Amino acid sequence: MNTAVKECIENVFRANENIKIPTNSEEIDSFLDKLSFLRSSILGINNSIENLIKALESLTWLKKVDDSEAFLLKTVVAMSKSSLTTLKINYAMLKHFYGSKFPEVIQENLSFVEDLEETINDVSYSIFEHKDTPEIENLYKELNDLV
Amino acid sequence: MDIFCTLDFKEELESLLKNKEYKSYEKLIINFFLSDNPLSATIINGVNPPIPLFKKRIGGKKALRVYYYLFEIKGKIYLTHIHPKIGTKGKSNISSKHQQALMSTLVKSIKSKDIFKIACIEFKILFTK
Repeated sequence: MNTAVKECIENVFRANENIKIPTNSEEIDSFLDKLSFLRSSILGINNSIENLIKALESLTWLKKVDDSEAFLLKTVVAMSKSSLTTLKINYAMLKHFYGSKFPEVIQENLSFVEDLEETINDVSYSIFEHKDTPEIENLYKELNDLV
Repeated sequence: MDIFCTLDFKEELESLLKNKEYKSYEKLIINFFLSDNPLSATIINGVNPPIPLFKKRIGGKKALRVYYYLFEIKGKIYLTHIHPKIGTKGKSNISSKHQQALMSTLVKSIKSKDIFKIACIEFKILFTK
C-alpha cells in the first residue's frame, strides 16, 4: 500500500480511537462533584474531534487511491460516522444534565460535533461520489490555460 | 502564494463584513490566507483533481465557509465563494452544479480581467485590480 495512504488511514484510525467519552455511570456521577473536571473533559473531547477533523481532511489530499485503499478509506470514514453518532448522543446527554451549568462549553461541543459531521459529508462526497462532468473537464482545461 | 478573488467573492465578503456578527472575521481570513497554511482544508472536488477546490471553515460556532481554487505550481489561489453556515444565506456545503458555476464564473472573470488581488494593510483586506 502507498505510504501516504497508509499514514492518512492510520491517522484517522488513531484520531477515532482517541475520542474518549466517559460512559461508566460511576464516572458520570463523580462529575457532579468535580465540575471543573467535567469542563476539562468536554474541552478534551473537542480537541479529539478537532484532531479527527484534520485527519479526515488529509484523506482528500491523497494523490492516488487504488481499489483496496478505497476500501480502507471507506472503513475509516464509516468508523468516523460511528464516532459521530456516539458524540451526538454524548452531546445530548451533556446538554440534558449540564446544559444550564456550562452553556457555552456545551454549545462549543455542539459546534465541533457539527463540524465533524460536515467534514465527514464533504470527505465522503469528494472521495466516493464526486464525478467530473464533460463541462467541468472543459473548464479545467480552460482554467489551466488562462492562469 | 498570491491570493486573488472574483468580483462575486469580493461582494459576498464585503456584505458579510458589514454584519457586526462577522466583522471580526476579516482578521481570521487574513490570518488564514496570508499568514497560516491555506492548504490545510478539505478538497471537495474528487481525488487528485486537475485543479483542487478547497473548502475551509473559518471561525468558531458561526464559522464562514470559504471556497478557493489552488494553482500550486503557479503559486496562485483564487477565492470564489464565501457563505455562513447559519442565517438567511446559511448552508453547510455547495452542490456539484454550484461547483461548476464557480469554475465557470472564474473562467469568465479571468477572461474579462475582473479579478482582484488580495493584500492586507493594517489588518484590513485590500482589493486591487
